[in-house]
Amino acid sequence: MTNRLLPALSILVVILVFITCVQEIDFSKENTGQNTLVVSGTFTDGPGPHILRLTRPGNIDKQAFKPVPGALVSLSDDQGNRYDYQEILSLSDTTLFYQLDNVQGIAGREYQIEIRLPDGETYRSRPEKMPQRVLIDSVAVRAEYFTSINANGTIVKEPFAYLYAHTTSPAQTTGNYLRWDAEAVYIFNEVLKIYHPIPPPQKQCFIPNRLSDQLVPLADLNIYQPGAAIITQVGKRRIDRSFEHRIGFLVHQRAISREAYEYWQKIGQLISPTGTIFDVPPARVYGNVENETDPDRPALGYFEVSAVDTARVFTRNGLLGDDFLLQVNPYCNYDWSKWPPVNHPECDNCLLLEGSTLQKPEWWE
Amino acid sequence: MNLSIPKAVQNVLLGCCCFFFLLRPASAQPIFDLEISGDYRNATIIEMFLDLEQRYPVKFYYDPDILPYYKVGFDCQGRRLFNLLQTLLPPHNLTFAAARDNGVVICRKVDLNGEYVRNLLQKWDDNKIELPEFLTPLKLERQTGMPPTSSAATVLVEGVIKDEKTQDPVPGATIRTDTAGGVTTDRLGRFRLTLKPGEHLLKIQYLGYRETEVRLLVYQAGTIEILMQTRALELAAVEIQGNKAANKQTAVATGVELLSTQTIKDLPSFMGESDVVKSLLILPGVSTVGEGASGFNVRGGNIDQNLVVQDELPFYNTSHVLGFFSVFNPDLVRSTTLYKGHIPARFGGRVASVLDVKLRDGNFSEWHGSAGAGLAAAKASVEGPVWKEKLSVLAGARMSYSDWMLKLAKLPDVKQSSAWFNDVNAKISLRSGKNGTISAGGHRSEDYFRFAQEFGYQWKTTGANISWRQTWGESVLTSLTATSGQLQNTYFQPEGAGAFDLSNGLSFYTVNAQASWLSLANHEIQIGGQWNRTNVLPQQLRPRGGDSDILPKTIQQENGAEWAAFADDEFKISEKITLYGGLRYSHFRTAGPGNVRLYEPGVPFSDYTVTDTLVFGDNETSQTYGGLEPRVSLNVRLADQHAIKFSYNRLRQYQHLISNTTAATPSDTWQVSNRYLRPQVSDSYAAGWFFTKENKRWENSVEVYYRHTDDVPAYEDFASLLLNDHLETELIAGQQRSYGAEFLFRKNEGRWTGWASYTWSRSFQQARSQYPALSVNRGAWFPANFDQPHQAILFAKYAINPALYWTFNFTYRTGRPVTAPVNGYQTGSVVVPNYSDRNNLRIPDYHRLDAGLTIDKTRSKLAGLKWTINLSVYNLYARKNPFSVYFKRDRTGRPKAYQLAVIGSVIPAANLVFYW
Repeated sequence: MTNRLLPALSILVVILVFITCVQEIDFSKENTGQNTLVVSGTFTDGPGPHILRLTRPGNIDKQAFKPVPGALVSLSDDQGNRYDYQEILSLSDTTLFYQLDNVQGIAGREYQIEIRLPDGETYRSRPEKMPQRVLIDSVAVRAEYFTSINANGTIVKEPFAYLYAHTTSPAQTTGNYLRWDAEAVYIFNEVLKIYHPIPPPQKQCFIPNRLSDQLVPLADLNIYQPGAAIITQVGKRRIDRSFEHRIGFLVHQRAISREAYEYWQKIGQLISPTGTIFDVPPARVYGNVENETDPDRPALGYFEVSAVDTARVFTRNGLLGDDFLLQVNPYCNYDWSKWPPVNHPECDNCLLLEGSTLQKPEWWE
Repeated sequence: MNLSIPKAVQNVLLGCCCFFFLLRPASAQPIFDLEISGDYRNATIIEMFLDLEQRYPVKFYYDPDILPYYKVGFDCQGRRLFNLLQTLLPPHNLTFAAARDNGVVICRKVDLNGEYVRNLLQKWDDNKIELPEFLTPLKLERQTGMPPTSSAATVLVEGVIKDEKTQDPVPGATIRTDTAGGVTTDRLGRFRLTLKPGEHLLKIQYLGYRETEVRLLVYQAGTIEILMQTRALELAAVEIQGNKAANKQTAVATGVELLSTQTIKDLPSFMGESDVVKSLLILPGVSTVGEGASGFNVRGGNIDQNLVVQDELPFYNTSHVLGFFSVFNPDLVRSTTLYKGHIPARFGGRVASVLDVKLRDGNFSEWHGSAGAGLAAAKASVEGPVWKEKLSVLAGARMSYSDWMLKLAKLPDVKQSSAWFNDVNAKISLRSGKNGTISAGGHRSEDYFRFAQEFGYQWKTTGANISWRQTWGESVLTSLTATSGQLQNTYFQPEGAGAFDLSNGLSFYTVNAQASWLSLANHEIQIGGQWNRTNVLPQQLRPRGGDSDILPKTIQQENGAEWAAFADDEFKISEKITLYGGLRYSHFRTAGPGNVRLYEPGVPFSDYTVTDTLVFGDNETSQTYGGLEPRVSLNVRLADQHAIKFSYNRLRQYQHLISNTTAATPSDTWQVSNRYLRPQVSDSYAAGWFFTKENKRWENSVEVYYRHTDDVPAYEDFASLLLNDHLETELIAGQQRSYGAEFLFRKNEGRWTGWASYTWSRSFQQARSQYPALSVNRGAWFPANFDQPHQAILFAKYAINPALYWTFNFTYRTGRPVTAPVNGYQTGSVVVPNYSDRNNLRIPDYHRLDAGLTIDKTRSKLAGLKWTINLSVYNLYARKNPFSVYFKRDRTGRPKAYQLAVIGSVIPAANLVFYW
């Protein structure tokens, strides 16, 4: 009896335990707000170029957000100066953006942009004061294994590189807010083309490497004592073949306004929910760009006025820390069964990689 | 010569002999040739047998448990008994045979054997068979005055109805006459009828009591006393006691729902655990945001807008284990009344509804008990006289043991999780003198939920009450009740450097004093006063364990005290018109300790705009509010079976549950009104039409309502409410309006009973700030979280016989509003989901079918042990009803929307309870 009862009971219990169910749901049919303007741009105390993107919301899976051409964009300050942006069509990635060159923000001045769309709608950002720059001390990369449990209940251990910014809190912390963003570029070396009668030069490509987890690192310096050491994780990247040769990280540390800080704080909450029924209900986030034609339809996104300092760090596999000995196997090998005799086509031509270029980034050493 | 017959063969022969001796072929017996006549269209089979036994030389032998007890609907004139039984019984798998001289045995076909019949006859001979009294009216005779008959055209007959055992008045009983319509008893069990001199038949009905028929001879004006018997057979099963307010036709109030405890137990339920609050969801106008959500929404109100009391003890948390079960123990509950429309002036403090749960008194004459177990929980109760007929006790406890199921799971997180609850209720009742009762009770419940080593909740409710009720003379009823209790919630992270306990809660004290003057001049007047004190416990963040790096933090909360006085009168203007008028005045005082910030005028409240902070000491008044709360209700009976009603209420609420989660969680905090958090004030209007048919066999009603509430706290987008000592920076004083129509069709008798209801309702909120950037949805009205325009309920009970019945429950609700990502955009380097306006989209509709089978052996008179077993299947067709929508990155890192169905499978369950 017991032998028969227990399996039956177990089946029943398994049914009960797995009663909770998660399914993907699609609200794309409710695709409201597609005509909303998205403004994303920064104006800094650096020489530029200062980039502004105007797009429309789109399918989030494809991440193809339609650019808005033909707009007249201008920047003005509280001194009565006015500068016009140029519309640029990037040939490399066929994106469209607006660019302002040869203008450098001055701390203490207020800046705002005005956008006139071809259909006559006018948008204007609320004025933002250029903050004082806060210097970044250094950036560092540290590698760790990240342990997680997948849906099957199996423990998964994956190596990750974590990028940290080190900053010393300035003497005057009141009203200071920081935001960081980072970019990564890695080197990809083609194989030596010994299969050519006259081997061409072996190319070295530079490939932008997206930091896999989106996060919005922020700091409110008001809560720190002057001189306090602030260490902030500003990026995270799974260690893969991009670490085989050399990878560089550039970190921008932006001093921003309180309004910008609060905006990015909301964005941070929005992109990192826990997925439980106890989540704070999310909401649409509006930035600082108002629609003067129809005030009930403000723009999404933010026009940020920030003072930027940058720092960079380079690393490679095996140099990620004293106790981290992971070695990534070479990605490219010869494969004489096909032509060209390499195991991956990009090993023969590294420009095949998405975003690849032979041009070394300006910040590369 | 000795003949040796084997023992087994002896038994067989003996059995056969007895069988043929006891039973004779049916068709050949003269008893079956009896020609009988009678109108049994409105009688049960047992009633028909009893009647036949009185009028014809026939005796029926049967087990009452196996006979159907619905009306047989049969009118026979001059038919043979054989033909009658042949028509009636086979459809129920029953058969019959002659026994003894003029006897007829009724039994199941499979039971027609010598041993069964011998046992059955023996039990009848030994008087061990008790007829189900509730099927047969108690017949009494009364007279007023002495002959000769009065010469007046009509005379006034006054009466009182009391419980036969306890001598307590029975309020709310219905008295119907054959000539002068019907009336209902008042709170002292009294009624008055204007009758013509002569003979009248009074039929008296009251839930939980045996129907009583009184043959009344009226000679002159006078008074009568009628004693009603409780349904003895149902003591263990606890039939609900009725409530005058719930009499749809005669009660003055609109929107009052009474849910029978039997119905609560009959309903197919999650994990087989019958539940008071979940059962409310089958009533029109009551809804929830989803499975696993605490509380309930009434006519478009928030869950904190419901006043929930058990014997006048307020309950701030009504849920066990994340909302799957409620804290009320159905085994101890006497009545459950939900006031969703008209709310009498004696209730206050919440703006949407009142759920009034009454525990029964313990048995004053005998000890009884019960014990039961289901898949998730076990329970036990005991009651009896400590001092016979003077002092009784009632106690019940429930305890869950669901961890064993979690341990069997494959997922490590589930395996390491834990969830349990327990609750205890006790009540002691003392009869003080002839007309007084003193009772005291206590409640304690505790819950624990931990998800792996990630997070957990623990919450505890304790409360006690003491009450003295006294009847003075003929017309005055007083009651004095004091209660005290505490609610403690803790959210915790169990392990690691970030381990912490975050706790909140409140404690309270209340005193209620009421006096009712029940004048026979058509008035029921009630006055009273109430006082309560609420101490909101500080929100505290504490490190948990020695390894925690968490810094402790305490947020001091303000306290409050409220007093109220009320008076009301239910005035029966005429036989057709009853008017209720009530007035309540409530006053609230916010008391320290607490700090109140002052802000720069003309700019949004924030940490950056504080100009000063006022410090208030212990019990120092920092704010006061108050106001009148008029209540009016009118009942106009158009004809005996039709009534229309209107009601208007104004209510004020000084305590608010501050939450911005989809479902209420234990980390939500209760706040009293203060300088910035103004009291909610609602104005409710309701009208209804009520129609009964065939002596209440059918009840139909249509009700419409509209409610507007001011100063409902609404949270701003991305509000941070936890550990926040300046909530005014996160909240907006919003408005709420709800309206709808409810249709109910109910069948109370027959093989099929139950109801079908449809509710159309809307509930909207507006959160408009004087600073447009803070307004939600730019200040426009938007659907509330629980706005579900269409709701349809079908509840049906199919009784095969009194001890065996099926129940079915089908629920349909429009999917509730959600705020969900409709597309995305890029800002900076971040791809962001673009959410709709708040509550602008809806999750798919909710629907679910449940079925249950109950074998109820508490009615059995043949077995010594009484028990019930309830087998149920929840969510029969495994609908994955979505609860919430959230946003998560998939394996490629791209953001996607997911819907969470809390229950996505069929949930079978079994629950066995023994009674003694």
